[in-house]
Amino acid sequence: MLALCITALVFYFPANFFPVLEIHFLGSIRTTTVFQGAFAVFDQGYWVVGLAVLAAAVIGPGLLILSILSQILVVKWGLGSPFWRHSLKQLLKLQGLLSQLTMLEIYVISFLVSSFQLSDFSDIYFGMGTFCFTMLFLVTLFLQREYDIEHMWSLLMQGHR
Amino acid sequence: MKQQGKDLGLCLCRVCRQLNSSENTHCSRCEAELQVRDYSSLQKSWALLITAAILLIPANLYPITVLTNQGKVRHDTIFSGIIHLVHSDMLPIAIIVFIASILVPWVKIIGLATYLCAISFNLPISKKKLMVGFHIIEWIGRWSMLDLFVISLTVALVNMGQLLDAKPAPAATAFALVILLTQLAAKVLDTRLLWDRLEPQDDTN
Repeated sequence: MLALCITALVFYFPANFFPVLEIHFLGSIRTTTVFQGAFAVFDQGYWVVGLAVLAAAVIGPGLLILSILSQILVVKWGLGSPFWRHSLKQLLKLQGLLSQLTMLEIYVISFLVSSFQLSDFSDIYFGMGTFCFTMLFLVTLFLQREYDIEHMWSLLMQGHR
Repeated sequence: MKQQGKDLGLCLCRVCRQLNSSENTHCSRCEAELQVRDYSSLQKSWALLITAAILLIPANLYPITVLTNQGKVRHDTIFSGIIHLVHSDMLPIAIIVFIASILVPWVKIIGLATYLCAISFNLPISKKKLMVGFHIIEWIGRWSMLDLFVISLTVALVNMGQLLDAKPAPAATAFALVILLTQLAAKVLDTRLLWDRLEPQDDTN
């Protein structure tokens, strides 16, 4: 789990800040990143849409990975102190919300859809970010399969009894 | 006769799914407030669902993207965008977009409305089927986000002034709100209400 978490973190930053799609149109080349995508909509005045995209594709996965990582660290070393126990409890309560917020699988499909849509007018190429984002999705998928919230709760409660 | 947790003096915590004794006011594990049944959640869920259903109308009628291609401006609603995809020989993509942005929101709103009606008006529909349907609705709801992701990628990528330019249009906000509100309506509802309401009629289901 710790290994998966760190792998996911390694992929997280290039996935969000490397270009995911490249468009070649009449000689000019444009690239975009996941992050820019959310902000472009935001700038056009559609901040609801921008926020939704940002939350589901950037903030959600980031928080999810960080949350699981800190949970593992607390379980490993911090179960003794009351402060860490309390934070672990809060993190576990938020876990359901975070995993619902994370929509990486949908974003991966949307790469495909938008590249096909735009290939109508121009040439589309996938960038480095697409690879990283797909890897991020796969790693997070396995991470969520390994993760068992009931096990986490039982680890937290063991000290009490 | 099946027994319910309520009769045994047990109560499920909605936050961490720990079983508690009904006498506790707070969960023994996560300290969240406990309620044997949350009757007000039905009303909240109805309110969110009706708002979403109203917003679904502008989301479908107004254009969702404005595309400028070599000086020609095209306003696309969700539906005309799909028609356009079909005409440009991209049937598989058209089907994906159709499912994600038209079928899923409608199925979700109709399905949730059936579910809420079954609780509010005691409709004799099998509980098991309703519960399965509810879980499906909760899961597929996320897929509507596909359209918004596609819009955000397109808008960021295609910005070459008069030559080729894509911009979001009013329906995008309405559509985002439809997704948000229906997801909230499903999340806020206390599904345990269903288990009581149908009990007198069909014990076997």
